[in-house]
Amino acid sequence: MAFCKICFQEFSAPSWRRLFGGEVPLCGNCFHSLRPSAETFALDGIQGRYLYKYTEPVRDLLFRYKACGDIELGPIFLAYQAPILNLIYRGFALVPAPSFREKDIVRGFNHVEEMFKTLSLPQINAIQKIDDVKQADLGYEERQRIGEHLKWVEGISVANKKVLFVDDLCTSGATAKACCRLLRDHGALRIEILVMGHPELKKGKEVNLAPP
Amino acid sequence: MSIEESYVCPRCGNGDPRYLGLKGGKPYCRKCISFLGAEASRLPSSPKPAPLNLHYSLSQEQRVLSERIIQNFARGVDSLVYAVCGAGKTELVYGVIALAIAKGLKVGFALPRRDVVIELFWRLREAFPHNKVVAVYGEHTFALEGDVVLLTTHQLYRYPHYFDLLVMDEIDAFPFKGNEVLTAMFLRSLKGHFVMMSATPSSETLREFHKPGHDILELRTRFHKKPIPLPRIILLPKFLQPLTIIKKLREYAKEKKPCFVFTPSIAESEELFQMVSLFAKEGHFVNSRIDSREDSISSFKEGKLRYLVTTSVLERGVTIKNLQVMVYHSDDERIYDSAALIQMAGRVGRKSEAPDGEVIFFGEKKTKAMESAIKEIRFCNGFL
Repeated sequence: MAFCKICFQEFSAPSWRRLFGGEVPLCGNCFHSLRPSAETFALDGIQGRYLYKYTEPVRDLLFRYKACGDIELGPIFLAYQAPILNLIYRGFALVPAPSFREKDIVRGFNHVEEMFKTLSLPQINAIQKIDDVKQADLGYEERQRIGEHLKWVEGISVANKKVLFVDDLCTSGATAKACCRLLRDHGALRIEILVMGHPELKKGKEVNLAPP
Repeated sequence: MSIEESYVCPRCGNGDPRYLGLKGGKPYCRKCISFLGAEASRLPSSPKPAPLNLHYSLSQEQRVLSERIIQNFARGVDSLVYAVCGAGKTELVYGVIALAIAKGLKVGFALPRRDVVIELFWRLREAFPHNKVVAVYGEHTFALEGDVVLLTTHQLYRYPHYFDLLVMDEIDAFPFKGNEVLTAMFLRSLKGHFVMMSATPSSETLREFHKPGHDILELRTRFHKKPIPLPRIILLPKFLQPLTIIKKLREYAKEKKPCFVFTPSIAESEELFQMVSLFAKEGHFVNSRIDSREDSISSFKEGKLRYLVTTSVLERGVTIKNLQVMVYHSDDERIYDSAALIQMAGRVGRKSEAPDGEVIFFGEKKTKAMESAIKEIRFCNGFL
């Protein structure tokens, strides 16, 4: 028995999840209310996977996690998928999306690193963001220039490694593209992308992903 | 004792370990963490005249109660105004607000719902044309200080130990009702004394106000001295209720009477409107998920729309002339307690030009909540 990190109610993990051992920090009801969906997408020929549609519950939760600094929400996003993701991405090293250091200090943690700690894969902080730019505030064209604000960390090598680029959200894909380009330039053997949330695109309709 | 057992949140007073988080080894409270934002500055306010501008005069009972609220405030007693829907509760506190501004005290007026805050903002600004009335609600927090701060209960956290006079309206409404964090934020923002107002206070609130230092002021009749329309119950299977609703809506349309159709859930408001709109034109639906609901409500008030299918967002604080009310699926006991039913019925006949109207509860069965709502309304009408 444990308490769910979202609804604070007492629960026990579903039996199938208990098979893989370990504790899960959220109850099955809350997990399903986030509408998990494991689907793939392609970005510049790189295979990507996302775990949730970016719907209102996910948005609210992410706001609580990132903007309010509720670090306890870090492990909830991947808790149920972790066993299978560890299998899929066996042998990969994680490269978290860069975030502006000063912001992490204010928040008290790096939200991407914290979120993907749930996976038992090594993390390499290979890329740095050198300016405080927020993609959510920018238009499509401006987003594509994110590469100018990124820098490779000296002394880090990913040569001949399988790397998995991870981020919380992938909207226009600009950050992911720019980072994957950097990884490829530094000799990564194979690159894949894993993101937590992806917008639900309706046909002929542009989704506005303004921050809450 | 471990951290988990001894930590008590300095903001909301929560000591339950399940709401405890650890960041870098330091405990923090997860219960009130989303209340995050700038706090009001603590510049002292200076005494200034607050002339009241009312186009109407208060009734005899209203004047007596208004005087009593002022006396209670002056001798440091908290008041509960227990008055029927449409009694003119808001006007009762104008006197004490004017007095507090004139003394240079900090005045707050808090409500649970933002729609009602917006509605009341215009009324207060009209009543106090020479003073600065600011409205503070989610995504509208540009100005936090004024002579009167009108705010949602969710914004009270910005004002720790701030208000000398705090008026709390609709205390029995969602989301304030039974919310521990909001109650803690309310007590934390209070420096002086408060006036609570409700048409349907819970028994706990009433019990609280029977203690010394508290006073209950009752107003059982509407200011226009006409009875509150008694709800009628129509028992029908759920799938047949829309038909009668359509029939009634067409009748009201002919008589040029505006109408609210309340539904228990957002999904039902959309479903019912889809069905009803095929046969009854010039209507719309509103619920808390629709951001443009202001537009629907204002065009309804202008008379461009004949009816609105709505969830409980319009259950309180709305005054529309000659309004009729129908409640779809009113036997949904999870949503509709007697307080909610009384509030919805209380939308009808609030203007002295049109003191009458029709209230219909549609249900498959008669619930306890319906019975006690009707009993309460009948009881209050007995005071006429």
